[in-house]
Amino acid sequence: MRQIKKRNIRLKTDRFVIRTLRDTDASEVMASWLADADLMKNVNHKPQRMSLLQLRRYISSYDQATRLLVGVFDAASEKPVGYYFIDINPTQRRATFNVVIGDRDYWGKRTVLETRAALMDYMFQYCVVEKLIGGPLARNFPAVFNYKAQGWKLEGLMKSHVLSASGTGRIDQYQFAMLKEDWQAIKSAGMQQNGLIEKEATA
Amino acid sequence: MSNAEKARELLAGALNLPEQQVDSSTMIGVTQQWDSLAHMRLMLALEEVLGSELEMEAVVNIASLSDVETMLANAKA
Repeated sequence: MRQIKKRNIRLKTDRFVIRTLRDTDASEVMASWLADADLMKNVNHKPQRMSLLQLRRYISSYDQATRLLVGVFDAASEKPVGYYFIDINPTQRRATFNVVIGDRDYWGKRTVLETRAALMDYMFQYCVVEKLIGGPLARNFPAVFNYKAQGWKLEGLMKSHVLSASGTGRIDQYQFAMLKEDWQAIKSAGMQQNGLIEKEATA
Repeated sequence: MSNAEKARELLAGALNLPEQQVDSSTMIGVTQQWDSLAHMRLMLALEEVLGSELEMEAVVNIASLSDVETMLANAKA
């Protein structure tokens, strides 16, 4: 069986650094995001209060090969802003994106559009990925906006698709997608800001 | 108030823009003020006006002033 190489991502955009999270990145700030019911509701995760040791273990649980945990940091202050968790299916050359912007000061400021563009460039260029999938919960209006604004195509509305982590029943979920050639066309048309890949290395 | 007027009022409120600056060119991907939080404000305002949760099939189609107007019209139909 082919060994999938670990990724050591480091990307730079105008305002952000996006890089692979390591266990040493565990912080009270990130722990507070995982315990925040409003934030976790958007990705249908049950909020959980973790110690720093538990958080380090959680970060380490991502193999950084097909399950990536990538942090977003303010380029100027270096403070953590949020994170992406990305699952890569190498057989199907497909990746599924999820994002949490934990710092509310960065909401409504195109943080996701800027950082995800860089990650999309990286995925298509380095990860042998040809299709990206995003599955926002239907009532996560900001996330739905971000997919639409970035030019992702709606593939469908999946009714009662997932069980609510908060125990309130089943909830609807959209599926958005971006094909490699569509992203290239969007970029060629000058509709999206390019992310700059500052450095790419494998561990 | 007509659907067109109400749509303009709702969208202007969500985008924090004067109503006269909201017109047929106001849309996602074009209008800088139409960001993720503005979009959420718009959806919640529509739900308040309509008195019910929005149909998810319709939510994803809202990307311009005319889409908002269409949603209001369909809700009354």
